Amino acid sequence: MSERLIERQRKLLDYLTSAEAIFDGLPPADPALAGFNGMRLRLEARFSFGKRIDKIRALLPLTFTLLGESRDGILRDFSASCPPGSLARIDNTVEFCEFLRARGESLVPAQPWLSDVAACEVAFARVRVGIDRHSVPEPPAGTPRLALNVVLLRCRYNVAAFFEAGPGAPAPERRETLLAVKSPTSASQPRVFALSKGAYEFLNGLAEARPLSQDFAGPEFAALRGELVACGLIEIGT
Amino acid sequence: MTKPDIGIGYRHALDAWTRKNLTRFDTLEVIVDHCFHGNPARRDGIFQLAREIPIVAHGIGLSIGTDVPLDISYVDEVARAIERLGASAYSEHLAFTRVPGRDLMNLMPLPRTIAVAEAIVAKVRAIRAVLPVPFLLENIAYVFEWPEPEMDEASFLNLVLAESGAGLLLDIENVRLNARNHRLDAAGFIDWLPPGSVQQVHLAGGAAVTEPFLDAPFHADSHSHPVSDEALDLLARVLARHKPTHIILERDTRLSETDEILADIAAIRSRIAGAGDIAT
Repeated sequence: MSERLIERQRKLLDYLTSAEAIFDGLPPADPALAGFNGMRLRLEARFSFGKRIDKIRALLPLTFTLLGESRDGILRDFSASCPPGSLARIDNTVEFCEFLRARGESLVPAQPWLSDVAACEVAFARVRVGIDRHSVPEPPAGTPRLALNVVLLRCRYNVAAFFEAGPGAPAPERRETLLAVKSPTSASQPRVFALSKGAYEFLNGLAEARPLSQDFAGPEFAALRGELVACGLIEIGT
Repeated sequence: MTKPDIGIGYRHALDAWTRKNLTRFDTLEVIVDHCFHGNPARRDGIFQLAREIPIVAHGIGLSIGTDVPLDISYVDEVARAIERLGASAYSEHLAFTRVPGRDLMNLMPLPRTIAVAEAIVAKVRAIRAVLPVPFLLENIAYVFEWPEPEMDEASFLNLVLAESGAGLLLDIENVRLNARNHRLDAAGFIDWLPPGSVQQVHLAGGAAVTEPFLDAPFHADSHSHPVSDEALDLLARVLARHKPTHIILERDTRLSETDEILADIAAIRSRIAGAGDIAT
């Protein structure tokens, strides 16, 4: 009895998304794929991978510039370890960002800050996409929540110089850097706020809907809270 | 004679330009998936646009050819968006793009067999039962073919359309590219379609791709360049035997070349005028 179509389709996509098809042009080994034109399958594999990488590159332009000559090897590893599971640009980009973070120190040449640059660019993309306010219930009156158009970042490196001076900026120093990225409604460029540890912990608690600790109950906290409201990083239910 | 409505596929990157030039088009084709995924502000912008110009809906997320049950919740979502858009029709590709857990992001052909045709027909009937507007299937440009087909592409397409009641969105550029890449007869393909079956038309301009492992350039459906004279000649051939209600120009790259888009629209209008009342 012949194999079900879905099984053949699954095997075809396994092959078309493999590094062997995309980069090496090896013919499919699975007998279920006998009879296909190998050159054309290779072309399909390269087209679709190119489309996926174009989507990611569109959201991570600085990251891709910094990848430089190591790009091909990294993309090959990415294709091998993260086959595409979604059509969405942001999903593929987040996947690439997580791949870079997992690689971390083992990237060659060493660019351990690269995943932080990518995380910043993903945050910019996320706040540009925004959230449909109608799909999220309002917080109870007087209750704070992280503003809907804010993304928090905990970076291991301070990569600001790359965004300010471009890819030629000197290698950043290793220093935990806590950021909030916010998309203002009337400008195209997201705004980035450097946060104190206390502000970050407070905002992160809101993001994770954790009960507020006693640390955030004192009068000095009232000033911080007022500042965060003024910056538009938190919203208070009315 | 009823002239077809001429328009472009709406692309967000050309939003401001499209709004400024709206009077140059009779219609816009909207990617219906963008009405329920992605940026909420962009979604609102699309629905706002739909109040200013007639819309047809085009889908990219159905993957009707994946051999799994139809995702009826997706179709319901499409139906809601169509209703909100006031779209007069909804089209999708006769293709598959994914299997559960893996998405190629590219349109791939189906095995041209009776069994596959029957599976597609059943899905189309289910879709038509939910949709408030006509449903159309579009022929794709394909890179490879499945081995041992039971029929040629035009026969497969005709069989699915006849049995399912779907209309045909004929992508003329795809016909032209397939003819070049697979050594087929584009005019013969068009002549094989039953008269009157083409309800909408897509036009676009592709580009040749070279790879070291290819023995000849491959002509890709890149939606990147002006519509070729060859495609416009095929349009005239289509208009001689069909009465499409909409002709849509697709453009996805080199979007800054808006003069090319307007020139393409003018060329299409000219071909329609030249077709006189042949298509009535």
